[in-house]
Amino acid sequence: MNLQLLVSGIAMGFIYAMVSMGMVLIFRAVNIVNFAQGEFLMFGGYFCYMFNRQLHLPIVPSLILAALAMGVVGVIFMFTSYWPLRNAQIRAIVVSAMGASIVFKEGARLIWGSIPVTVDRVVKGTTLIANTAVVQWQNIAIIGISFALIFFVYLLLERTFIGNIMQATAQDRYMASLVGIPVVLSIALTFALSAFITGVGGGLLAPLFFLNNTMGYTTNAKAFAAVVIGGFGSVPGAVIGGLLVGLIEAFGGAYISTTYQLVIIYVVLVFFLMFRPQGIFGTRIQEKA
Amino acid sequence: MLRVRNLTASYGYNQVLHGIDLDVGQDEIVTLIGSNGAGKTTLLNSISGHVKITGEIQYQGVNIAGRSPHAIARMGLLQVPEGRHVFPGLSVEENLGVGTVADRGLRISRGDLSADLDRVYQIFPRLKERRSQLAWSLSGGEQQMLAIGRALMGHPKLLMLDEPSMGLAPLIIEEVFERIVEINRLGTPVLLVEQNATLALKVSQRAYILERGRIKFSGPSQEVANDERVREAYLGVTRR
Repeated sequence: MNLQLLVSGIAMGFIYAMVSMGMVLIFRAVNIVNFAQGEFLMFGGYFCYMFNRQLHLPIVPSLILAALAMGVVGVIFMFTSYWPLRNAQIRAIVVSAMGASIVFKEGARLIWGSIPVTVDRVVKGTTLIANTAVVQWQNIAIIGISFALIFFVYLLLERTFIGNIMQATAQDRYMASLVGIPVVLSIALTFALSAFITGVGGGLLAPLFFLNNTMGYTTNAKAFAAVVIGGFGSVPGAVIGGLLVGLIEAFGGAYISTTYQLVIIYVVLVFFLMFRPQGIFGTRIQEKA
Repeated sequence: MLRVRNLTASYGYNQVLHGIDLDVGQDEIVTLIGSNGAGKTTLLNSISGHVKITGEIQYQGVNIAGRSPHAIARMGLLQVPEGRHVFPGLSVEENLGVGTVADRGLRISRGDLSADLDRVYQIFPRLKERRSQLAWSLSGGEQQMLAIGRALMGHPKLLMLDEPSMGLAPLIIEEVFERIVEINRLGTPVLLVEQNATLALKVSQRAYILERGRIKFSGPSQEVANDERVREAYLGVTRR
């Protein structure tokens, strides 16, 4: 077992987990697969670059500011790309999200240019684990920060009252309004949370891989695979799926081929669709027999 | 309490309600009876703000026509919709908790709900047994109790029940209706929409008969129940 690969695979897995978790939050709220989720990762990274490299703030405040800015972007995205079409056919909204992803991509190019950029590491240098593996501290920082954030969002959804309200709105919008929930506010909050958690990933990822404005595309594909593997609509599933995709990518890249990383992920996805189409975690809600 | 005047509602070009007048007084159970497609649910959805309407809806002396559904709910005018609409992926207690939004508004932490929960569990002891079960797994009768209980958590000033007997076994229907009468006795006026006319007329003080979007007949339930036309059309009693 290659420890170095394992750590970097888990770190990437947590980044994908944040993307797929954001995707699932939106899916549960409005039943739409958001194909602009990967662009949230890219945009969050660029926000972090702006605060860190253009405005010369330290990296930790930059990450926090970028995450908050992404929350606002999530709300704007909701009001421009989803809300006007909320009563339209689902495919109209999917196309609208794809359109939004182009706006994000080209917007990033306009604002920050097309030359790949990076940000500071949260922790610099490398460390030796078990006397054999050289591991970058940034990978360990990614794992720690991502885990904390994912856990925080999970607790917010499952253990707080506002989380119950967001879930209730996601499950039955008509009924939510009948108990006095302002539905638009609840959905906007979900979009903000989704963009927030995904956006942080961009700033964490940037020191390892550089940011460019087209990175959202493959991220979408991987996050979607993670969501399906984990079980559509399940938050823990999205996290486990994201981790699996990260590990498959790391080991597949090292032992099989870096060119075909995405192909390998999709082969696994196809196997899941054949033998366990409900994913690792089936949905919690069922139709009664 | 509630005073509806000349209310009309349409879906697209299809007018469903044609000038409805209806009153619900303090402490009353008022029932609205009609066949499928008469417009009963549309009338309730109009009052709760889900259908575009013309006309006037006075609630506690304020015209609420045109207000948004959540604002109307926050005023204590609570509807338990047809088909129950429990939140399937939340537990019984979480469902009840969400019901308090109507009373206390949006907030991050739940706060102390024990008094409200005790009150609802007293009326529906079955819910207490099931408190940590997810709502989708409840039986139809339990879901109906949960839907009504959830509305009670919001301290309704007027409760609108849409077909609470739908799809339930006769024994359960009886139990649910006993509870409705009890809730009313504790001080909540009820506007009850029902297809089970016999039962609805038995528990209510006044009744309205809705036919194709118009009030055809109204009066004290006793009188309505004895009216020849009503007996024939809704109570299944044929003239000799």
